[in-house]
Amino acid sequence: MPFDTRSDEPLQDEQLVEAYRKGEKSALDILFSRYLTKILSWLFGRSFFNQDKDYLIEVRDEILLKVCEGIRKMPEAGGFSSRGPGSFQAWLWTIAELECLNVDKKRRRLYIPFSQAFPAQPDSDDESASFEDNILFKVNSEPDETEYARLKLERVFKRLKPDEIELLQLSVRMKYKDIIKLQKFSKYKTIDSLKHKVYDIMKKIRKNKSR
Amino acid sequence: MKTTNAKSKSAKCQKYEMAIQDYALGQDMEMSKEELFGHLAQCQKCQKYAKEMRATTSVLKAQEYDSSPESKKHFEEFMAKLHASPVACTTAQGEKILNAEWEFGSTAGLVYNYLKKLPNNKAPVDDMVKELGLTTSIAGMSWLAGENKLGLSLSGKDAYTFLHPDVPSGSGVLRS
Repeated sequence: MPFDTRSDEPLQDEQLVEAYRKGEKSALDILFSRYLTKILSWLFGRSFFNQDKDYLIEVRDEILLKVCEGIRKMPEAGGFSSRGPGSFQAWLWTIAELECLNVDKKRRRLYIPFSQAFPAQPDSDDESASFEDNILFKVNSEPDETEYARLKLERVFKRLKPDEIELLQLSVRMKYKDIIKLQKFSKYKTIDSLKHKVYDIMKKIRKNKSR
Repeated sequence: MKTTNAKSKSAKCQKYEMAIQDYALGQDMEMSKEELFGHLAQCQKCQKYAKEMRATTSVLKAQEYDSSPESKKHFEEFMAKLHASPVACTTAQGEKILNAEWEFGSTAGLVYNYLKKLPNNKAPVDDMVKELGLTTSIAGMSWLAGENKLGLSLSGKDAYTFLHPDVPSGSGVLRS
């Protein structure tokens, strides 16, 4: 199959893997750019109580590196199915999960994946466990959002008004006190009124998500 | 009576929901972490809310970062390095041949990032070895010293290592 990025039909993941293995480097760029934000979002979700963006980006690089190495080492006859447990996507998430455990171990960082938190309650006599760790066990006692739920959330975002999505995006980047200084959001006179607006948008997201 | 109790509980929870929202977005909270977590530990409704906020803000944060020029530049540089690294191969004896430049450069990135986050970009060598392991520390320090990006000092019996102040962020350091 010739590798043609001008094709109307986007190539499937497994087709991009094959193209890369045949020497088409840009196929890997396309493949990775599909999963870049998904992986970071997944990492942010896993480390809700210990968020360090720089560290998470390093972990994402490690995951992509491992995926690349895996593709390069695949036997000639190897290949991915288009869906299901044999798909590229399923393989990538397995690598991501393993790599998370691996980098934490290597760097001895306090970063508790939810999967480790599920099975056991923290030992109350363990002085090394911080207050936040103990809470982590309680709050995250259920599995992380599935890929399906994340996709649904992305769709809900698209249904928000442009102003609302812009406000949400600013809220993860800037402090409220700086946002109300912006011309566009100066109608919110106080931090409290802005905060309530964000709260209302979040409520809207919850409502749309549960539909 | 029951309805009044439920209403007052709901109003009380709204305060905590606001705090969870602030926490998840990285905003200043109007209460202490201890108070919030103390409430979370016993309120299932707020635990559910925290999980939802976790999902929502994680997608938002990732989208926000990846739409920035900083992220695009990082991705381009990362891919360029990835394409430049040759495929690992195996000898007839089954010994895996690694890309030495890549491997040592990677350890340099770990050392660089470790020092970069410390005050004065300086650390006792022993502490770094404990944190990163002996092999990584030695390989990374050697690489950075060879690039004239790292210094060593001795205070009493303690050896310290530090980044030279004029090292531009990430220059020549893989995965920084």
